[in-house]
Amino acid sequence: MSGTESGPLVRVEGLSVAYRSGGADVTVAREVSFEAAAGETVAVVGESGSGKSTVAGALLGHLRHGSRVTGGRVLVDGKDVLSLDRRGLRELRTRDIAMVGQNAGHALTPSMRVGAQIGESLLSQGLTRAQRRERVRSLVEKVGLPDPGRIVRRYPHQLSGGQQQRVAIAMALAARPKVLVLDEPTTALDVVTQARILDLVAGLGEEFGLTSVLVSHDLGVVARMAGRVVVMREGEVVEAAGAAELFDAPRHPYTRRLLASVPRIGDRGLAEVAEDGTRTVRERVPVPDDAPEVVSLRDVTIDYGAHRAVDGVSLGLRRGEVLALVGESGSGKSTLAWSLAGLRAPSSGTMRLLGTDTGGGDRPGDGNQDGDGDLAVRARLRPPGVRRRVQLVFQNADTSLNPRRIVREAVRRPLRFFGLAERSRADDRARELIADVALDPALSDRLPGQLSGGQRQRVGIARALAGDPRVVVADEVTTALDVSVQAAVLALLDDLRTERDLAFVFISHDLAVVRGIADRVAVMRDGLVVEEGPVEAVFSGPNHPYTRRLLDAVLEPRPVGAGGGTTAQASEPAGETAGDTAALPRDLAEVPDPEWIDLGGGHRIRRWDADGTGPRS
Amino acid sequence: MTGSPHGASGPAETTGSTGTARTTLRSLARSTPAVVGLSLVALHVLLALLAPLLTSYSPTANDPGSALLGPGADHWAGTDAYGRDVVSRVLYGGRYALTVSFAATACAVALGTVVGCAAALKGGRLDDALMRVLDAILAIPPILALLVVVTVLGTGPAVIVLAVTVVYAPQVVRVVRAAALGVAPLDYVTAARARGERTVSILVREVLPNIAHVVSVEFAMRASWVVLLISSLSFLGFGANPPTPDWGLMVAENRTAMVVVPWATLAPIIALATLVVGLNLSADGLSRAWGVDRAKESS
Amino acid sequence: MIVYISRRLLSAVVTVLLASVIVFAAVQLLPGDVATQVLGQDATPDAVAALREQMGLNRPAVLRFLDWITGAVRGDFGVSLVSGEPVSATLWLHLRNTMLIAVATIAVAVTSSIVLGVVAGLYRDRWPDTVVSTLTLIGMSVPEFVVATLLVLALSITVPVLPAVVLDEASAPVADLLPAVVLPTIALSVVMTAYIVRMTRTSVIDVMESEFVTTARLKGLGTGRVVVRHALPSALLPTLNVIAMNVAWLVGGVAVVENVFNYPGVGRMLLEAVHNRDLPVLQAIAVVSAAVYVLCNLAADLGAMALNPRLRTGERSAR
Repeated sequence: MSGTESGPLVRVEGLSVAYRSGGADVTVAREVSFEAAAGETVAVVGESGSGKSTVAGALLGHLRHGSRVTGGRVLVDGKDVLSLDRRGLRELRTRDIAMVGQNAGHALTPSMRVGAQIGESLLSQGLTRAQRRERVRSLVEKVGLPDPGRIVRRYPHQLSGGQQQRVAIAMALAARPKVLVLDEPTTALDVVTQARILDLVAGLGEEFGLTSVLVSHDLGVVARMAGRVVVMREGEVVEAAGAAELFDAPRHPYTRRLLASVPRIGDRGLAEVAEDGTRTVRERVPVPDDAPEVVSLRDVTIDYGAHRAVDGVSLGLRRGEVLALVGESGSGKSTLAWSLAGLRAPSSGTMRLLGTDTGGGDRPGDGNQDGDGDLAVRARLRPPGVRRRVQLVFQNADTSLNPRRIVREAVRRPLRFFGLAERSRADDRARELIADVALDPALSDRLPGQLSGGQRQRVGIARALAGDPRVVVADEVTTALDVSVQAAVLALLDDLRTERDLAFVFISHDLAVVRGIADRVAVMRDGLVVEEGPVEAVFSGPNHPYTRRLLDAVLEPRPVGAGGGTTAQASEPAGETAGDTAALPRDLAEVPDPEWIDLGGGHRIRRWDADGTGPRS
Repeated sequence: MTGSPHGASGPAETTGSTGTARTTLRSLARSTPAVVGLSLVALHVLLALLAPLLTSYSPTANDPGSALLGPGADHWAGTDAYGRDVVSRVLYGGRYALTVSFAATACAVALGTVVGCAAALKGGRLDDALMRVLDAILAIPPILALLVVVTVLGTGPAVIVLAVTVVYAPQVVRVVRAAALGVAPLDYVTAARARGERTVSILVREVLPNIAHVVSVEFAMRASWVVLLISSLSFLGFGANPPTPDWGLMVAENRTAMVVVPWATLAPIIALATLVVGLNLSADGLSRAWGVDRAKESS
Repeated sequence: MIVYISRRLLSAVVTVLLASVIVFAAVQLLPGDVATQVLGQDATPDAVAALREQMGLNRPAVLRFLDWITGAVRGDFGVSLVSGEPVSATLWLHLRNTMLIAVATIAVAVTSSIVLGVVAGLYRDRWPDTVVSTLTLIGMSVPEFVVATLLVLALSITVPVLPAVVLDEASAPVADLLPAVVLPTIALSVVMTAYIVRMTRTSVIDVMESEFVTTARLKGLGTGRVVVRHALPSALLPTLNVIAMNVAWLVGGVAVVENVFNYPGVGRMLLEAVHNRDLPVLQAIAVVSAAVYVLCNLAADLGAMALNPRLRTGERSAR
């Protein structure tokens, strides 16, 4: 059956993989079957623990140390991959199939020049050295890397994340494989870079007539790339269908729930997903117009040695309001947030906690009855009454709790530390708080390692609530979570905000999440706020070119052809300036403010250079 | 993506509410090397404790009449040149080796842990200066440093304990400091800092419990080195004073008569080697049970 | 890169200086009068006073240290209290002899341990690994004086092929000393190899599981190429440090082993100095060993630069 034009190029039949742990077999993949026809892109989707990466490895005959195949076959171009000997495997990998991994920063050998690493894939083809060099050069050009002559002489650490991923793609394509396996190829990248890499892969796939197997947890990426989709859950395939069909009319309840859980950039509030996968968008409770300001930042600048991480940021936050800080990595959003939480004092500018009302905050022991205080100093220098008013929730639930202490202790400690509960009452209060974040209080005797990621994140939130804060700084709190868990945690945050009148500084790179939860958005880039405004205004535009680029790069879980979804145009940076400037009302350009364009209603945009890349200097 | 089969989804983490201590014990019990190692150490401790019951010979009294005897019913491993029973000397030698090594290791590890943690958490200039001084101490070979101390202060168990502490504490500091530095940037420590906790309480509540395993492995490993170092020192004639029953000293005393009474040399060697193998295996077992990279720690 | 190297050089100099301060302080400032210590408790007060005068002990310690260190920099370590001869002449001679053993040991131990470590790492949990790991454990658990003693028993007494005891003077020509180098080298190599093998094995296992090695394998490269070109440069990095650390141990180990074989090297000189309380000799040896140790670490750093382009191309490049 091999060699026939019409037969599937990749075929997985009843594949089962298990590994041994503690004397017992643990199944990671059970009876997985799917196929990919020549030239087709098939996506394998699932949340963590679904076994999708194991399947990807098996396509190349690769299993992790300790795992073994317990049944089934994998056929690539007619060859039974799992029964190949060492030599056969090498041939398969040099000729038929290649893989691009998640993190090119780890996948490239640090001690070798990237040119040499690409060239290695050509060794089996019997080319001369000069021919190889020429081929490497053309590959480097093909993947859109600048200045090929110089870049091949670089070491991986001298390249950016996006460039490294391009090198990895060149490496995979060097041997002209028939099948390309992409294992979470853009997960480690910023959204704009992600969009460009996906465009590149899609274009190259078409050009070389590649059959691709894309493994991803991101339904947006899948929708952008795949023709057919295989949904996996806990090692089993639950549904397989054409992309259009799957996204429009998912059949399996799990697929429906999964799809429904993904935040959409068009949602005007948080999505709530029922057990059967129906999706309702929760109405956003508007912040009252007379809500007092609780935090005020003026010209805050934060330096790391010579590097200016945050450059003159002025922002305000009102009671009960969610302010989202948006930007790519290195934009300074996390630095700003951590500074607010008292982990690093700003180099200049003012940060104040405003306590215009007492709001049940005056307890004995608060140095300042109103809780009005200076936040421009490190936590230890803040009076306890101010300190406990700003609390932090971390991105990574794995490291945010002390692994050697039961989780109740994590909540109990701030209660005792801030003097908010008597010794005898502290345990009960801690249990109450744990119940408040919708966790079973019985879990409070567990160690963090015995909880799931979502449960740990809830404990982290309970710990922040223990200080009875007015402001919670949430730093990418849902980034590390699976979408279904993310939806639940976001709903919890939204509930807490209304119940407790909390203000949130919500840091995220995911614009769809931001649209769902935030009242106002501040877009940061290179330490500057480039745009700030109410969430609806920012998402409907007009925008700063940088914001536009971020918005364009968002991938919706909806096939590209189906229309409606924003499509990635980020690969053409030249196109963005003109359109946006034109969209701005002309007379606004005459407003005297040399730095900002004010669009009214609190929506303002920083003026920019003609090329749309930087602030006007 | 954690599609990894090893890790968060492992059954060790999901099954019930077993405590850390019990998990450790179980994984120790499962590992043959750990069981062998701990048994060897326990056996040595037991033999040292029961020495007076196991032999009726004095380890120090000379008996010229029965010098240089081969193994026999009276003397299982024969006698040395002074007519002392080899078995008795080896048994009592275990007492000396275990006490002095344990005391020295405990001092070095305790001092090293405190200083290492303080350096890691305080950081800054203090840390820089401290590391400089430690580098300088580490540049002097352990035996040499020991010999210098012994030259200046004379021999004797107390001096040995002090000298070993001086020599090994810096190495412990490095290991513990590295471990503490690994914990310091983690979010739960950051949370404590954001709360404004004092350094001491961060150290005790957040850091120490999470490097306890490193310190334990360090203890077992250091102990094996200390046993070796002390016996080397005795062998050279600068450790235990004759006629103290000490394994290193026994090898030194009897090696010239090795052809005549090989057991007088081999018995202490076997005792020494089994104790150190035991300590090494225990350290391996502990480090594996806790996932401490022992080879790296020792660097 | 030049900045990096010069920074390392500077810190090496500082470390040696600090080490000499510590040694000097330990020897001269610890409780007890140096002159009394040298002469013993029953020395007459006159003799003590005379020695104090001769050693310049009546001057402040700081001045004495400065005198001593400026001399040391020029290679003048003062005069031996026992023989009355300059320390440096004797020291260089013994150092030369010890270098014979040290260089041979390092050569043997480093090559064999890297080979064994890589084999054990690649055949993880299979029989070659078990064999190597068991041997390693034994090597680590047996002190060098025991290895030396057993070697004497085996190769000098039972089968007399090599000299058990060296009878040469320190000033004997190198050629005469060569046969005497063999046994000490074997004894030291056994122990040193054990430590380095462990590190190499662990780091090979780590690196072989890294993503970049997996990627190289999935490119369809042969095992040889994957190991040599992709894995080894990274795997040897931590090994380098362990080798440098082991050199410090080697200086101590040499003292013990030289004693067993009566080999006229620094080790024996050291023990004699300790016996005779010959403080100038002791100080000199301590500082020279510290310098050797620091030099080895420096060499390890340079080796790391060769293996790791991150260090070579400067730390501040684009990520």
